[in-house]
Amino acid sequence: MMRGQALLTAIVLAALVGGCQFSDPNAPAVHRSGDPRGTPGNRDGVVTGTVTNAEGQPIEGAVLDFARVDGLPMNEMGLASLEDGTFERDLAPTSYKLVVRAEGYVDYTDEVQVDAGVRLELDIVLTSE
Amino acid sequence: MQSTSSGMLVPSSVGDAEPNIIFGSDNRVAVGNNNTTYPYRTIVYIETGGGGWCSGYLYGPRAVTTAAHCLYDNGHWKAIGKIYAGRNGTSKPYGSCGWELLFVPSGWKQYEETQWKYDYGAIVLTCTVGNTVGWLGYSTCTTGCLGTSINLEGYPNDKAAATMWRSPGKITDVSTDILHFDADTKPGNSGGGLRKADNYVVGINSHDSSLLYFNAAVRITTTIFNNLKSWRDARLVG
Repeated sequence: MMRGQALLTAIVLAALVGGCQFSDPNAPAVHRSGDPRGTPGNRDGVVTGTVTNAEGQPIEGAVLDFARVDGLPMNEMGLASLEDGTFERDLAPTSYKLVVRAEGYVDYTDEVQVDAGVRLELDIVLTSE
Repeated sequence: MQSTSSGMLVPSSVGDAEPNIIFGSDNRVAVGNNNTTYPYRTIVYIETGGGGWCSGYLYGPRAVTTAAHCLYDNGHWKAIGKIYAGRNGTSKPYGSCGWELLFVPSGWKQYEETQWKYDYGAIVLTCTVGNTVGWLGYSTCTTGCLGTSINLEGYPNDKAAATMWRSPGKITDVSTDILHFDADTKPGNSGGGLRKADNYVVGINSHDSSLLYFNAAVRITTTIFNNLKSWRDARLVG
């Protein structure tokens, strides 16, 4: 009887362990060049848009500086507009103070709200100094 | 600057802090023409897509360490572009490299910025620029590294475009997974290494908080050390 109980306990434990496959969070996730990148999820919002001058011409290299209004931890990735004036960045859902700077232009400041799963388009026009 | 009993840095006066974070006076130094001397030539500028960029450093002939959020964010991989060793503004003395493989820990894919301890990753390049410029070492860091002097090199967004700057400072707090430090940083410094005087990196710059007033790096633990080592030598097969 005792041996039967011990055997049953061992089987139950083995089943529990086998059924609970705890994955190692430090195990590598790998992305190979040429593989699809996937699409943005719903954890963050996506902020995209263009930076142009008053004549509608794109401004390359305008720095977009997002800072959380609540001051909570945030990563330190840089962002600047591309040659065609466009930019895109994923941001955690919260409010941000945005400062846009480009040489020869007046700083642009705004407060923007980023919502999870929402694509926010910002068309920013800078005025010359 | 004052240090609390827990080692947390707090502003010593109103107005001492600004977002992403300059501690007191700005101590950053332009690398300038030293971008072709060691160790600065091992520092890399990483295009992360959409106009984004990060910093990083070579730790092998074709291997770069950076922050995981520079490689994977919001449920998808970043559109990593070219990687430039030793870049300083328009000076790109070693050209650019493409990449074969990106690595982050699976915990980062699962938790992203709710678990900063997984904010580390690696890039395997298509070129062996490290054989030309060399690379930095990396080592684990325990409580003994509290107070250690470090430098953090990278590409802060408030300076001329893509110029390399060195931020000197000290490690001010050591926890199980995270190092706090008082070297000045700005957006664009993500992924830079906390480099000791012996050119061994002990942490990877990850995030900051203007409310809690810290700059933070992922501490290179034994687990992370072993991961970086295995990723360094990986190659694209097939």
